[in-house]
Amino acid sequence: MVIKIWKKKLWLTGFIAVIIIAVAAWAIYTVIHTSTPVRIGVLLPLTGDIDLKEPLLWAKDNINRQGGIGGRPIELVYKDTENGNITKLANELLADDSIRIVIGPDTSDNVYLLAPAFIDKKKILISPEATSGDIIRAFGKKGYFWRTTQGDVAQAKIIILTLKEKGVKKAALLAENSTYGNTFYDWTGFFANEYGINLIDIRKFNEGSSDLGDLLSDALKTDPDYIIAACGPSDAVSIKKMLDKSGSRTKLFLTDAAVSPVLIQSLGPEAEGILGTSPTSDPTTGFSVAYKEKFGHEPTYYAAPTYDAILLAAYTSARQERTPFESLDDSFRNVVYGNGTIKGWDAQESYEAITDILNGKLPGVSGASGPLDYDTDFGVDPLITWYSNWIVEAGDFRTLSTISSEKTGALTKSGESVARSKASSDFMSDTQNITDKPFTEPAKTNFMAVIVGPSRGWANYRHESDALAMYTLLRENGVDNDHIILMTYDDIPSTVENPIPGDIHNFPKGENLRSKALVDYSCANVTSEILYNVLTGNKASSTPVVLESNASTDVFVYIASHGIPGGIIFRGNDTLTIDDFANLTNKMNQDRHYRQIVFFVDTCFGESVARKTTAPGILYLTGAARNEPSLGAVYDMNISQWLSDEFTSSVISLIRSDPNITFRELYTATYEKVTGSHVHMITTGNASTLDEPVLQFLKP
Amino acid sequence: MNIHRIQTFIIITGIIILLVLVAILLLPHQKSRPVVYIVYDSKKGDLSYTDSAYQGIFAAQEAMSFVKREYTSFNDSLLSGKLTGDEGLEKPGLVITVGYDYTEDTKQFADKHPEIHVLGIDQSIKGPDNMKAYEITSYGESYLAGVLAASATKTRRVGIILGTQSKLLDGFRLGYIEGVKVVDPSVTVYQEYVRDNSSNGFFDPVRAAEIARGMYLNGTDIIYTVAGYSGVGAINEAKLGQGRYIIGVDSDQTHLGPAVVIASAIKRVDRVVYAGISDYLNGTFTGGKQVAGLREGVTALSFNPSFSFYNTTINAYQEKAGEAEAKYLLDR
Repeated sequence: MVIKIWKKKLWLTGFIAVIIIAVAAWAIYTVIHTSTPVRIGVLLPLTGDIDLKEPLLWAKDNINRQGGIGGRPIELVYKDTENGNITKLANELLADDSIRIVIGPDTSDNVYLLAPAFIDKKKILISPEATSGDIIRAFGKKGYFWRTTQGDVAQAKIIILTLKEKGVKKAALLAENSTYGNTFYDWTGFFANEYGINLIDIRKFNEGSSDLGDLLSDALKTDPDYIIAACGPSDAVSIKKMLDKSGSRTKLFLTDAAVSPVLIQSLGPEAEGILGTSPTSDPTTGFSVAYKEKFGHEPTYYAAPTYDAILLAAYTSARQERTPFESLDDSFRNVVYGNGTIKGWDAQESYEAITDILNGKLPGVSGASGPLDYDTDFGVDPLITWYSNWIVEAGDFRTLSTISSEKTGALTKSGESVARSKASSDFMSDTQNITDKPFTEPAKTNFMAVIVGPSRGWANYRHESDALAMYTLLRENGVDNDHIILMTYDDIPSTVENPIPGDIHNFPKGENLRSKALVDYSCANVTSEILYNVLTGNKASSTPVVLESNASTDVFVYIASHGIPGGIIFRGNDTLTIDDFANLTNKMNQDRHYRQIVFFVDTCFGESVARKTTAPGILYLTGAARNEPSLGAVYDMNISQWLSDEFTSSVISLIRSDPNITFRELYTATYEKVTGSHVHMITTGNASTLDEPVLQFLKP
Repeated sequence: MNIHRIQTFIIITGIIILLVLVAILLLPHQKSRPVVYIVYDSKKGDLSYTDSAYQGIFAAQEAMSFVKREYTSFNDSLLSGKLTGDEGLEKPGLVITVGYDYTEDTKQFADKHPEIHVLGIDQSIKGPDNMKAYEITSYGESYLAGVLAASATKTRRVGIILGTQSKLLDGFRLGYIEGVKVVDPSVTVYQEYVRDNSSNGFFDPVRAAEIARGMYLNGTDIIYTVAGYSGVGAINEAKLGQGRYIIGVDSDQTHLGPAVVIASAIKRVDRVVYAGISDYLNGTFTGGKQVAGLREGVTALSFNPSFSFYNTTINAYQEKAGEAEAKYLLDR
């Protein structure tokens, strides 16, 4: 009996000893863990004109002096991109397992370069400065890449609204041919259309180009009230000097890239009065006031989003402490979509936010730059950014007013970033009141299609891909190769830049569209002249395959390419102009070469090409109004290319999801679906075509 | 001693030590701190008054340890304390209300909550012992603004744009007029209100710009803007013509118009906020009425460096301005 009791005590003692050891181990781990810093990478230029280190250090110090993250201090691991190859530096951060979140990079080009690796390695990358409008559409929904400032789509919108308030009626745009300038090129026309400014001229130029003078002269011929220049300070200086020399009444409006001492030093007194916009902090957060009190000077334009990047990194780290088995991106999402008590950016409020998060709550987080609410579907972009409307005055950039991108009215649904703006219904072509007589004869006996993707080069992947996608749709609809003339440059599958030789696809990991396609004209044989001859049935040695059609043949023509106002670019100087198009359709009509002809044209400024068309029986659907570009769609990170265009991508997906969709319905649906441009429809006759199911038309 | 007893003793001691260790690790580390609430009369970003008050509480938090909560409207139940989840009821030890619009509400709050220290800035009222009504008189700084305007005017016409009618703004207006007249009685002073009897007059830059335009067109060349954010409109209007100048208000507004803002009559609301918090935290906060202005260093005329050559002129009137201010306070 005594032995039994002794054995029981021994077991009990042993059990308690195990518990004591386990708790001691946990306590020791906790003590060690709380003294281990939370390491956050910084991949930004840390030497040079703009001091980004100051807001980074301030954010870090504010968090650390309140106790860090559950006792763990933040440690910033700097990689100065001014002094080193950015890919190499990024790889160092990627290889360091102790670093799971990196702040950077500063440019959009570097985001495209680096984000795929971070997404692949499931490490968070937060850029405080990259503002290309396409970034959200390229990396949205993929997770792991975020930014603390909206894309420049918001800035383009703010500029148009600012000019509108000034009573501007006509403006012209000169945009640098770069990832930065492209956003303004792509979107300024869209917002000008929406808000009633006539964007009368829109041009791109290469940085430092000697052609800038000619481009400016051409733009000035249209007598705009303002020239909007989306470029760096050197080109801005050139434009201003040329503008002054011209004696024109036209004024200059600059974007944030021009904000630099270079502008003022180079122009001297001539810089006085230049207007522009730049991102800034939300004035209601008090960040600028606090910054000036702390450092004795105003914050730079990107100080607030840089500060916020550290906040979000810290909050995500806190969330990971609480829920270590949650993925890092889910933690980030939970932080930014939290809707509890709102916590601000300063030391006290960020401490309270961290405490809440460590305790399992999800506060509503607000930063120095404003509320850190993000696009609910795509992520990536915050929903609100503030902009300073500045003027050059007394040798410095002075803020005239601050404007929130939220103020700018809704072309997006609630929870959508400005970069996902869709056209408002106010500008939809009127499809209800077409009263032409419907065709009664002759009856349709045949159908022919001509598919054209004339662009050359890896960067134009999407044009060739879209042409093949449209070809594939026709083939799936039962149209055989004898009824399709396919004209594409056909270089994508074989170019050395293609990591998947022989392949071209229209969505990531999609089917190889080239494998079954029969191309009739390729490479240098895809020209506007050849297209003219093909469509007019002019057989010759250079055009062995032509449209063999008559007055009973319905014809479908699809073109995906670059465009300019009044022209579809084939290559180089080869352009199908507005006059060419009118002549072509007139000839086809005179020769009774079609019964009805439907054009789907996916090019920038697509509406402009058909404006002189009068030949009857034409339905022309295009993805962009006469003064705006259209956008790429479906970004494939694995090959770093856009695979499609917004218009074509929308058309094909709508037709596939509703095979009975009519032309009228397709127009309305694409108008509402396409991002960043106004889908237009022009028709010269036969109202009944509008109510014909598209797939019924697209077959013999 | 019995070995079993030793064994038991060691085990129990070990458990107690570990429980204590766990408790230390799990318990929150931040000591509870004093709590200060502040109620602004507008959102931050007004580039003058509210931003100055925020500057004060920010500076105070950098130097001293306390929790702050910020509000932009007066809500009695919110200001008396709030539930903060795990910490239970948070009660402020000091409530600061900024702006004369809150005068009555502040007094009633102080009456109702004798346990809370209350500081009402830009308020002139006799409250209970726990309340300090801190009036910042701008008579003296406005006197100097008037001296400056009269000294600098080329057209012998100067103006003042006020947000709305109020006893508080009377100090600005009367001080300015006296300052002008003491330099040159023949200078004409034009005065207008942005809005009649409405505090919206402090948030209407468009209307202020219209008023300024009218004044400049009738020959006025220097305008003293006493209208909060509305003043930005007048400043922008001044930039549109030659020979148009502004004297700003509340904070240094040089950066809003470096070629047109000659000086600003600044009100160091930030210092009042900071001092109030400091007094509360070190136990020296006292109730009552306090009036401060030029002589106490709570107001001043701050020059745009480009116009600092007027400093000598102004300095010569500093003492007179202080005397005038004291006399105004006695007589009113």
